[in-house]
Amino acid sequence: MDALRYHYTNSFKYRKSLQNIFSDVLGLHFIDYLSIADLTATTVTIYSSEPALEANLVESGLIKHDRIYTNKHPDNLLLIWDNYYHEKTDEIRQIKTLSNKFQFGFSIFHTDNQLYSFATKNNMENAVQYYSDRLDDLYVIGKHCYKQLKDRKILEQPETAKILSFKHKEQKQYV
Amino acid sequence: MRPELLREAFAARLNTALKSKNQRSNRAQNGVCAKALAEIAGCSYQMARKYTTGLAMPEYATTLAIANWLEVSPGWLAFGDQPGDVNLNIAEDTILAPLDLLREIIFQAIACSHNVTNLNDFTDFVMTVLQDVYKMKADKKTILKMTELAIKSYHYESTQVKIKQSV
Repeated sequence: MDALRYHYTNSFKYRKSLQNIFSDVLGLHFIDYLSIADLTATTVTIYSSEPALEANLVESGLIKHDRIYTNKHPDNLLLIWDNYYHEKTDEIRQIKTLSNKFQFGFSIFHTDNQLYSFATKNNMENAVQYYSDRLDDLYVIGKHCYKQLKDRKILEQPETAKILSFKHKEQKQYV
Repeated sequence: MRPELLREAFAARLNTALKSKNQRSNRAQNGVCAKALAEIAGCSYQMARKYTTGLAMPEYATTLAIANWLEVSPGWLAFGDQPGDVNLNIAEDTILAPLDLLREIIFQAIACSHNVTNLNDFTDFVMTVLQDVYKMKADKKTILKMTELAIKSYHYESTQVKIKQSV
């Protein structure tokens, strides 16, 4: 079986459009981060309100250990990020939550192979219960944003950058 | 300036750079891991922790080695941007961006600024892009490419808005 290929560059290519789309919903239910992943059997294309998050996950090669990006989830359930890290748990948690000061992150799967991901910086006592109670609303938010991506013809656009590989290279990094 | 303030300012800069290099620790009170720092500085773990907590400052030769490892300017690490200016909140509201990245962002912004009708909105957006790419841990070429793509996205959105308004 071929390895999944992950695309994050559209989050930069359509940064302004995504900023406008997501600004309508960020803040609702203390949501500070939202991304939409378009899933196929071989590719995962991510549109994010925090493009650096997915860029770092892909560039580090750690995304292959994050099992949240699959279309094998049940529909409309709260998928808590921490439960889907397969190995390299601390490193993935560092990139996805700690470095962005998120307190809690989760995703919701839609049967049309869409994954809506949310995170909050709010340090609430029972985040699981809070967001479980608002699952339907979050599902609608995800669907709304997906529709906006379609309406603005962002989903149909091909990736600009070449496919990014898993292989982690020794790279000079900006500090 | 009092020596303890100098040490605290040094520790704040050191911790910022350590965090940027992912030398973090959930257990340490200041959130940074001093293990690798001790190796680079050629000192004990306890002494490295003193550097990160503002209880001690290394010799300049050691500071130079640490700065090279952290890929920051030795002058900045030792003295800060403006000697005498202690800013302990540097991680919260300051970006220490490399000059070539800043140059690229300014270049792209100027190149894309023609036909921009709302300069305030455009400037805020360029700042957003700067913050985005600053958070990226990737090779320089990728970061510069993403910078270019992101700034150009302003025009795509403007065009989409115009099309929508004309329909």
